[in-house]
Amino acid sequence: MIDVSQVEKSFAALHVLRGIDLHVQPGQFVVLLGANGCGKSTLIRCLNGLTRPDAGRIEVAGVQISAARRRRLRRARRQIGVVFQQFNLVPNVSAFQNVLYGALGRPSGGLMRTLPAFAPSQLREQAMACLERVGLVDHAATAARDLSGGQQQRVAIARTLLQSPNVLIADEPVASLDPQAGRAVMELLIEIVAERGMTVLCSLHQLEFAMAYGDRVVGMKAGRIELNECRERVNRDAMGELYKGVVRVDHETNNAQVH
Amino acid sequence: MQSDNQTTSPSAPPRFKRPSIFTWVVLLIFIGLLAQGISVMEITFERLARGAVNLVHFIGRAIPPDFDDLDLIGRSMLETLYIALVGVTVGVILSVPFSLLAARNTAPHPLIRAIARFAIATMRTIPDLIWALIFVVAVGLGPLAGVLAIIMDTIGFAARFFSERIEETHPGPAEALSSTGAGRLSVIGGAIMPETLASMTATSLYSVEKALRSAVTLGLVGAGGIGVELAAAMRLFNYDDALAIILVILVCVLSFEQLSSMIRKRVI
Repeated sequence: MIDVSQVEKSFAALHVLRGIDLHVQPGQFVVLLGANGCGKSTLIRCLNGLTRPDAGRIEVAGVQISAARRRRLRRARRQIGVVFQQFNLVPNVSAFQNVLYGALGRPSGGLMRTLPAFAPSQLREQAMACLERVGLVDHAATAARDLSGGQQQRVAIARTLLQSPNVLIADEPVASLDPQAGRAVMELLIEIVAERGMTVLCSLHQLEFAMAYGDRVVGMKAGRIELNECRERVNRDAMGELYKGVVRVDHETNNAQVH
Repeated sequence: MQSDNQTTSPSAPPRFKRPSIFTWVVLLIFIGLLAQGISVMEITFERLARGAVNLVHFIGRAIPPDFDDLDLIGRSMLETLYIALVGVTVGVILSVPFSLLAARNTAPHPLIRAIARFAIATMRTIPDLIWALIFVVAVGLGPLAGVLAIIMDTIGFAARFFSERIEETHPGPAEALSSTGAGRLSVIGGAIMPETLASMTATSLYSVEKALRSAVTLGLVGAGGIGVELAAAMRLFNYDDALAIILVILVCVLSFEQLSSMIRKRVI
């Protein structure tokens, strides 16, 4: 479902992705681990075409994303839902409208048909069903910026539900939430992808979530994949290794940051 | 002990920094130009005294203001209001596409962005009175020339602020909509416009205030409105009529500014 081979990406002098190879089978839940700055987010952005790799090949849901442009890329993106760390809701419109935006990419979509005033009643019902699934029916009319972080991420998940993709990529979906809200959102996400049979690549910082939910654990370090095992075979030491070098570097720069 | 302290305490930065050579050069050029400017004006005590006498003379003839033609003044004031309102409305509507083409995050191509920015800068740099002179030549005397001048002035002002505001929007929501497969226009309308709307409304209201002030003066070059009456009254030495017109302008502009700032406070 996700096929990445020999992907390279640099930002100016910074070599972020160094020959990434990754294959995710349909229906798998793959967790991506690694310290800040190891290239997780860049890899995830490449999978959706938000960032273009310098070299290599990326195929998601049967479309070669790395070569797709404009219309083909847009058509491919409908099949790839993205959940962001910072939720990325439009702050001053309602939760309901943010969910409706999930239908923007549909062939019958377009902005006019996703505005609450003009959306067909069938779509409005679908959007409300998505909000109901994430438990936020009561907040449909609330502006997104007035919701808590956990609620905002739920709205973002509802938006992805309406989009109804085959593949879901999530970039540290719970990293900016407190542990309790993070756990609740993570559990909701797991339930939903199981119901829909989605293929998932999800980057995380929490090792315990990785061990609890991932079918497979992929570890990145300095732009390379250093660990790629199914959950049963992963040992904790190997996961710890991913973060080890980073701590040392932080000590050298007197900028201690414990992960 | 105390002397010990004094010798070891680190010395603070000097109280005054020596100005750089650049500062000296700029200062000298400025003083030179200022002196030259004052000498060109030929300011003499005699001229100032004569000016003061003329001013007293003007005030003497202007008071009491002559409100006999109030309906005519009212009608041309209304015309001025219409010039400002129509000009700003069209100008603000045209500013939206201009600003989208000129903002970094919405411009379809860097070249188009450069052209749009140049066009906006041109409209802003040429003063409204000069636009009015040009349009009086093009479409003749009357309010249409004024409306066209206000349109140019409004685009130069509003499109610049709009595009700056658009560039300040957070990239996240726009990326999220793009990631669903939304087209460029849907992303602009769905993510960028809602975030900029309040600030755009405030800028537009300010544009109306600004346009009302310039619509008053546009009449002086024949582009319609109350300025035409004011210019005529001054030229015919009907200073009492002129004062009445000035008072009407004062009241109208002030009350509109109050109204507009009240609305702006509610919008933001």
